[in-house]
Amino acid sequence: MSDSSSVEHDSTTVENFMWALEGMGAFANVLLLPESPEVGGVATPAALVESGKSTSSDVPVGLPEDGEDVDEKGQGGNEMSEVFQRLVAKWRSETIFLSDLGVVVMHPAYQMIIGLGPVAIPLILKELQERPAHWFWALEYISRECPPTTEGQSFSEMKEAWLQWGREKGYTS
Amino acid sequence: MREELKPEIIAVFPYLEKSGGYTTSAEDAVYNCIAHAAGANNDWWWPIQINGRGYWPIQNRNPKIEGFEEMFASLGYQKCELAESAELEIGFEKIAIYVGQNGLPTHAARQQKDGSWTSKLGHWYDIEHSTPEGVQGLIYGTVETIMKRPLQRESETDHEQENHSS
Repeated sequence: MSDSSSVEHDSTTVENFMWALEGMGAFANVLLLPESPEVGGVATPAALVESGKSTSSDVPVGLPEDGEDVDEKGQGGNEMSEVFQRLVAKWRSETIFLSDLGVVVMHPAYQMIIGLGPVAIPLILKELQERPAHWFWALEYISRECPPTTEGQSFSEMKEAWLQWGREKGYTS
Repeated sequence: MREELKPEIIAVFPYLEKSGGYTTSAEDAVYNCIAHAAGANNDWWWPIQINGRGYWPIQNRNPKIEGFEEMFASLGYQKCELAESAELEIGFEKIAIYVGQNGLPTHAARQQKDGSWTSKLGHWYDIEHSTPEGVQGLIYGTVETIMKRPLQRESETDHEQENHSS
């Protein structure tokens, strides 16, 4: 297992994000389209059903301001945290009822979270701890690492393995 | 836990408003509908692997309806004839497999001893619904297959399983 400092991703958050946008093509537009009904700033499943298509946020997800101080461990960067939370809210509202993890992790918001790069790792680990969901693939793709797991390992075991990994790497306390 | 259906659930599955049902668990990402239908609330069952991981009880990971039928058959289920449909049969338990517009499976539900059905909604809640049609619609599509096997969980109270985290 290599140290997190060896992660080959570009540490420039904006560049990572733009890479994700470019990589997703039309998918990215979903996140940047004008508003559909929301409750409390979070696109609801109801909106999804009523519109018959993906929901989106009334304000574009947005990028951190140039020069915003976000280090590799994700410290600082309130705006990055807001972007992350909006993407999580969108992803949850549109996939929470699905069983096909292939669809769940290929959702544009999930892919954009991967595109945020290493600065998203502590945010993902916090989310994994507080509202467990299938964040393992995002963590693996971003970190290019994988805690010692086996195919038969359960969700709970994988969650604990990744949280332990985060503590050992200094992403969480 | 057995509460009225949450409005956000009815928003996604509007047929539930008419057919009725209950929320029977808290949110839980540990297991999904397929595992729940098979009576295993401890893992996520799906035939497609991501990065080489993902549990499926049989070697053949066919993501089509035939693959799901084969998996449930490995657990002792047999495909029902249409005439048997989703009616309650004393001494048997049934599962329903749903397919979306592309013909691929999206969901499974399990009949309880009182004839109602239980579904785990992805990462979300367990719910109880009176008929399999309750969760049909845009998200899960329609019921494609009903399967049954002799009842094996006599001690289980379907409304609240012992190993559930709620």
